[in-house]
Amino acid sequence: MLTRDQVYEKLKGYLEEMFEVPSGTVTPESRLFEDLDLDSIDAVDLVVKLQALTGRKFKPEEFKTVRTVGDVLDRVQALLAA
Amino acid sequence: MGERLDHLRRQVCTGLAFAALFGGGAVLALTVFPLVSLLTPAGPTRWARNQRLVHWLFRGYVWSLRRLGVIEVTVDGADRLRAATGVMIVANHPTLLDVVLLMGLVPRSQCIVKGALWDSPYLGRLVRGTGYIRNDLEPEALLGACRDSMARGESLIIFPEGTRTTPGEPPRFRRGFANIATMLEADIQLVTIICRPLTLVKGEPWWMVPSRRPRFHVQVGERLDASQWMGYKYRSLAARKLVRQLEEYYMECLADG
Repeated sequence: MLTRDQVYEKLKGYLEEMFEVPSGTVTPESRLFEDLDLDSIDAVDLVVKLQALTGRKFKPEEFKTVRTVGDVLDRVQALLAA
Repeated sequence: MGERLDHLRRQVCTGLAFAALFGGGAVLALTVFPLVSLLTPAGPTRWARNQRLVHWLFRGYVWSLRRLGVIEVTVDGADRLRAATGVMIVANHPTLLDVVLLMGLVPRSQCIVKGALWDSPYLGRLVRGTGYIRNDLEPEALLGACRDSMARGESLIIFPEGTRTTPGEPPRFRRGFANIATMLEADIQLVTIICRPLTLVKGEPWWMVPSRRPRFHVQVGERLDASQWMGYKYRSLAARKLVRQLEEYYMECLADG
């Protein structure tokens, strides 16, 4: 199973590759929309990518309350542990 | 003296024009729109009729403003704009009149409108009757509505700035239009609107009419083919590139216009 740190590294890679976010600027506290300039369509793309990584399906409502990079990690961990 | 008189005359005419737009709009909302509703079943057919109605209204309105000498309007490429059906029309947004000008040039136009207007007493009837798209829909529903609209051959007018340009600053585009274009693989028809001297800008009262008669210049520009934003590894990158590309395009157009 992927550790939280491994998911974090992967996520930083995705943010850079997909959304032009320099990985050096990302912290767990970074807010996806305000700080990293993602939008709601980007969020959908990111969920698809995370599903491919984890091999699990997210329910859309599980991602509704996601605000920060740390929130994403929490959701992914919860899903992997389930 | 002549200049001052002309200024006063244009001030009065601008006031009349606003009264006509809102008063006339209210009268039509209470007469013609219900009539169309009565004679046409709800849905795309009714929307299409009301869209044509709005087109002729705005066309007549711009014609009257020209006749009254309140504004001058020149349009380059009106035929190409009229022919641009089922695509996205992207324009910069210097003044309050932009949407009126564009809808007066396009027979069946669609736009994305503030959701709050659905509850407005008279504009509510207009936005419901024309089938305009609410901006507060969920992303998937909004995309679906845009897709259906363009598939019906309507032109989807979008001002990527989201609001009127702050005078003296380059246009800053939001990414929504680029998301729609990249998700739906839609072509984009570019339009540049130039107004000299500037009038009806953000935060300025209507009676502040400029010392000279404003000239609107509507330039129908390039038509961008959707293939430009297809084939990227990530759609999100294509959308970001499109935003930058068009910000630069409008900076250039507005610099030499």
